[in-house]
Amino acid sequence: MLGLRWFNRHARWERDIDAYVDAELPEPQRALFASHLAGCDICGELVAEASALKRMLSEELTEQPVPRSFRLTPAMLADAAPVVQPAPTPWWPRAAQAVGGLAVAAFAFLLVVDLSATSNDTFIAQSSAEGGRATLESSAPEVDASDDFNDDLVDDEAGTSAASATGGGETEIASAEDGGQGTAKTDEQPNDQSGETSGRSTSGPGPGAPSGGMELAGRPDDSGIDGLLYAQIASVVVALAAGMTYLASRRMRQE
Amino acid sequence: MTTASEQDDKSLVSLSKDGDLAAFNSLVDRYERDIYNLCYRILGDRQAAEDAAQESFLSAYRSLARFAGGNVRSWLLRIAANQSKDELRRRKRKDRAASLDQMFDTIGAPVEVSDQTQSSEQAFEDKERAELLQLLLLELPEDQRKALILVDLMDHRYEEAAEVLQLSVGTVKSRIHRGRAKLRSILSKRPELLAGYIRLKE
Repeated sequence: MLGLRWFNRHARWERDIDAYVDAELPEPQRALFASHLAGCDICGELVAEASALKRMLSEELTEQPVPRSFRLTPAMLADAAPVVQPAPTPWWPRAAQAVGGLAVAAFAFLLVVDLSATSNDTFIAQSSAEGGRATLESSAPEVDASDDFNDDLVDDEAGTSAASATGGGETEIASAEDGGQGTAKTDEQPNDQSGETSGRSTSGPGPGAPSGGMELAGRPDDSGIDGLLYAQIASVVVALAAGMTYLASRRMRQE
Repeated sequence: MTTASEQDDKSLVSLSKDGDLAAFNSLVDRYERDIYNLCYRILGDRQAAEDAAQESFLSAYRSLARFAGGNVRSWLLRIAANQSKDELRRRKRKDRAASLDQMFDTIGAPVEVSDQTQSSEQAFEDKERAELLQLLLLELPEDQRKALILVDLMDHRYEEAAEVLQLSVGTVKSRIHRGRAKLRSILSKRPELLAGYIRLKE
């Protein structure tokens, strides 16, 4: 408590000590401070310390002589202009930098696309060998259901419409299995096909199944991969050309 | 109330605005010592101070058209303080480390003794102490350092310092108080500096 009272008592004076030492304290405050100092040894010591510091700074860090004249000359004023307006750099090194950057970015993008396409191929190959069969298997009952539905339609409506509806359902299954070549399949063909697929899935993927899956997924992408490869090569060539152009421009500037 | 010197400054500024370089150089002659010393104390490096001082006068000449009146000395000091601030920003902390190295190098360097009665040992001690104090000054935040340099080293009144730094008198008072408190705190860790000073000077 005593310490806190001491702190409160001196804190109000402490912030005026430096202004007092600098003779910058306005008159009513200066007189009050002076009367406080007369009875306070602690504040007296602080004032003495602040005065010593001020005196030390002003006496030790004395004014230095100027090392030279700072007069301005017309040449200085003329020389200052080119510093303010630097010579414009030619446009083509910047263009080479930009093209090079774009080519590198394009290469990186194509690489990512290429890698993701490769991983998709693997995934499709696996899924066509396993999951794909299951899909076909699960679609088989739908055929049956549609057949039941079609049977109802045959009972209720004309046979032609029922035949066309049945044909539509079969075409879906056939195209899923044969790659869209089953438009002219008969009623027995889808059943045979679904029988085949269910047989394959129960007996596990046969030797032909994975290769068939690869063909389905890989055939349309082969040309895409080639295109990607060519594009990657092109982007590397462009990046190299741009880099060499930029280096040549730097060499020219240094000369 | 303007003094004869201030009136003379204003007429020199007026002539300089009309393209009279000789008139501007009269101002340079008059204030180059103040400008160089302010830059040197803010930056703590002679070469950097030289460059900053020269750049300050160039900058002042280019911005004569924008000078709206007032005290010419304060205006020039303000430009120099800003120029030094820009220089400090460029150099940042790595140059402070470099100046420490430089200080240790220069402490061992021979000292020119102008007064024949002063012994070389005394000159060495004075130089070392002054260099260390300059480094301690660099430890202060830039705003406090500028206020202390103007008031303690260049004998500015608070009002004059406020005009140079474009601050209120209360802010200058506060910066002086905080700057000295920080300096006392630093010196308490190296009591030999102040003790040595008191022993020698008192």
